[in-house]
Amino acid sequence: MAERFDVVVVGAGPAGSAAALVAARSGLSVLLLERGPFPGAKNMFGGVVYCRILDTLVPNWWTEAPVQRWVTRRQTMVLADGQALTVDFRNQNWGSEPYNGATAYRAEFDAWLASKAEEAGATLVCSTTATGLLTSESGRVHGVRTDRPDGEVEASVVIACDGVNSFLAKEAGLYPNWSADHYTVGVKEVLALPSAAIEERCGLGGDEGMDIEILGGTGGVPGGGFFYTNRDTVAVGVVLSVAGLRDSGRRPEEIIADLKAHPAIAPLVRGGELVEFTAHTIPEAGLAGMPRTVGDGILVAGDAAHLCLAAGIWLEGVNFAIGSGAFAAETAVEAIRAGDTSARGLAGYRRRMANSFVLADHKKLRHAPHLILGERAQTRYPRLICQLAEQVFTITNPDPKLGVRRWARRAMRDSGVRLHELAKDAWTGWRSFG
Amino acid sequence: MNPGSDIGFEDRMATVEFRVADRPHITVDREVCRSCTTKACVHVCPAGLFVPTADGGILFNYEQCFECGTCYMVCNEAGAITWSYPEGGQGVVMRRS
Amino acid sequence: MTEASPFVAAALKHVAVRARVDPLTGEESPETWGASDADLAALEWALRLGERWSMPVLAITVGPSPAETVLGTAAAAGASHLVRVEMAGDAPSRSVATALAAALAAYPGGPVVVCCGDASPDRGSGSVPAFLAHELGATGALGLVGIEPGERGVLAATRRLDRGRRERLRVTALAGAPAVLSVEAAGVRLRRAALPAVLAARDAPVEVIPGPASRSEPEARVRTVRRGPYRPRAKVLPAPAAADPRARIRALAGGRAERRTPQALALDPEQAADHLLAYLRETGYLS
Ligand SMILES: Cc1cc2nc3c(=O)[nH]c(=O)nc-3n(C[C@H](O)[C@H](O)[C@H](O)COP(=O)(O)OP(=O)(O)OC[C@H]3O[C@@H](n4cnc5c(N)ncnc54)[C@H](O)[C@@H]3O)c2cc1C
Ligand code: SF4
Ligand code: SF4
Repeated sequence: MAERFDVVVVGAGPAGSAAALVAARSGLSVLLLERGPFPGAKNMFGGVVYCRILDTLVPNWWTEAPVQRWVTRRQTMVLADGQALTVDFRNQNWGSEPYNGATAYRAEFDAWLASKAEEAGATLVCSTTATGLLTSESGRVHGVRTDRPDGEVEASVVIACDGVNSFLAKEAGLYPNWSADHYTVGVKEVLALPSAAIEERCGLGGDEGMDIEILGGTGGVPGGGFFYTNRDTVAVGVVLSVAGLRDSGRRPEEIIADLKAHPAIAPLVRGGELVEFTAHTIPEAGLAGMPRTVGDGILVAGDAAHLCLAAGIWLEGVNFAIGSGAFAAETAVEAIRAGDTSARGLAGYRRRMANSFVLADHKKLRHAPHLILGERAQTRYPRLICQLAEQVFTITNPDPKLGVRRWARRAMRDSGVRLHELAKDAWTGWRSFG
Repeated sequence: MNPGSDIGFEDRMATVEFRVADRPHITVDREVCRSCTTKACVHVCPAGLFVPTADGGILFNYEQCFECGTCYMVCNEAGAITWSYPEGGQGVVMRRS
Repeated sequence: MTEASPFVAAALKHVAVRARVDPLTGEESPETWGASDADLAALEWALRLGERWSMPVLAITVGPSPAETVLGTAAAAGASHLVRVEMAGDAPSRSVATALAAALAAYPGGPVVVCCGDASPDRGSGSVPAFLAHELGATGALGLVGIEPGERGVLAATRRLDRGRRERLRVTALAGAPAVLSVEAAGVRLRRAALPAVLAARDAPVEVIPGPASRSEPEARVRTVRRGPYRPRAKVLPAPAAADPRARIRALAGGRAERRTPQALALDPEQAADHLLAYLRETGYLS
């Protein structure tokens, strides 16, 4: 006899743990499956969790979540050869309750969130990979198969939170438009530095942190870079379009090495000793890459549902994962109570997401991935911006200053930017980010 | 050599914990690879697990894999890569990422 | 055990199986806790012996409560009895062995075979199995790489000796005259636990036995007083051939020998490779 639970959640990442927590709290029997030896073992990210979404799930989460540093300084940096223009925002309010974002290690954060689901009554089983769906002849999902002997589990609803490669959503036929072009790969180095050095280099107080999102600096491969501070390590890495990397012929660690050698980044990482090198893919196409998130007996949440917001100055996924996981669980609870777990019974999931940031942000930013990963935003605009800054700040005495209009025209010519393209992109950008 | 690539690739990979399963979770069909013109897997794989051989094939090691999926996404020939996750509990273990 | 049946035991240690070493200070910080591969192999052998001989398998660990995680692993894999002896995690081998022996000897039915890993990865000396055999008054077969169960209480074991030799042992054990086996992490891996067993193991009861009071530390007759740094062994060299003793000494000490000063060359890769090859040939490393 196969084991039976009301809900089986596959994947104890943020989406899965949030789903398991919500479902278990409603009194359902919940199995949370994780293929790693502990939750978080398989997961890496840049470094910042935005936990406002946790306020309702785990009140006062900040008193217990395993946090490295509270982000009080955010920079967006535009890099060109030997040049950098930085927007630097510091907000001391983010350094105290109720906080905004925090750097964290996934091995710690994911394990903590999963423990919250366990406290709520979910059964967490690690070291167990879900290898497929149990499906009836009509195509209705009624459980999962795992790689353990006697490993089948029956469930009224399966919530697939199995991350970016989601084999379960693919098996359920929910990814008809899958394309490698919808993905980026993140590669990062974690470098050990004394915490005092980190604080001094980044101008931070005791438990304050800094994050830098970097445009340009990836050697022409579409993507971007990042730099985050932990307690006694810093994370530096790149996010690269999979297709762009394929066509570039370059090695990821070489691109990181170049980024680390850039004069704007080098002083931050100097002397850091490599303590971990990791890679992970990211669903980066926004709405365009999204699968169907509801099937008969199955819901898809988090990265598995392509719900990661990666649009230049934002790199957020954990909050979307938690939000969508919680919505999926609420929907499952409602459907199980109503006795209809078909796609129709589960349709409320989509509505819940649409009424919240989970889909609204993606709708708003649906053109952003294309814009950000386009060739102009990747190489020509950083060059344009940096050149403009160079002209503004270079004193050319005895020649008089040209004035912004002529500087801009010259910078556009030198960086190969056409006015009508700029206008078009500006319009797309305004509609997206404005 | 690249400025800043101050550490050898093997030392780089040695910073990560890998629990090696008995069975490979990814297999590569060398015959299919022989006719591949891009060999994109070789340079994209962050773990550098694809090695071109002199006879135009590919040598693949599964032991130090991040399980990221980049290789199957860029693979040039249908059927060359069979990709799945390692047995539960095995494979990469990340700690500070 | 309801009716006291003789059992096979697996002694497992909860230990840091992977540690991060600070390259500057040499300080170690434990990262992954669990049972070592050798302990897991011991558990697998114990389960196989138990199956073959129709005996229950008891998993036992000595340590504080987090050590119970290794018992959970054992329960999921098929151990039916779980015992933890309460004791500090860093107790010396001798005390661990004494505590293990006392708990096992007192357990109803009595052990027939006790399987242990050969040496724990936290720089263990591998002495617990030997001490345990002594305390139990048991036969010891240590450092095994293979076990073949035979008739009830009989097994054949393979041990690796120096220089690639093997030794075959035949071990006979009974409740009351047990055997202690220590095994290397070789030949077997712990079986994969079935999902229902994993779920059931979460509620498997663990019997906690108080360890011997710490003051009754057995007086060791050999104690480490000081440990010096690692010194490689002396290498035996053939005596120089010269007839004159002074010439022999000079040859040994390297006096007046031709010595090249180190040189730094800036060459392109091909030239550099040629240069290295020439050097290796010249010095006899390549022929
Ligand atoms: C380089 C990089 C930088 C990022 N930076 C940020 C950032 O700064 N801030 C931010 O908010 N987000 C960031 N993200 C995005 C964020 O990491 C993801 O959006 C988020 O982790 C998604 O959560 P999830 O629960 O959906 O999936 P995951 O976190 O991927 O969790 C999926 C879980 O499912 C398990 N699993 C998968 N398949 C199976 C199976 N078959 N059986 C059992 N278990 C399975 C996995 O082991 C894993 O634990 C970044 C991502 C990357 C790669
Ligand atoms: S890209 Fe695919 S087909 Fe080409 S060599 Fe690599 S694995 Fe083989
Ligand atoms: S999954 Fe990632 S790390 Fe593993 S072989 Fe493929 S590209 Fe390399």
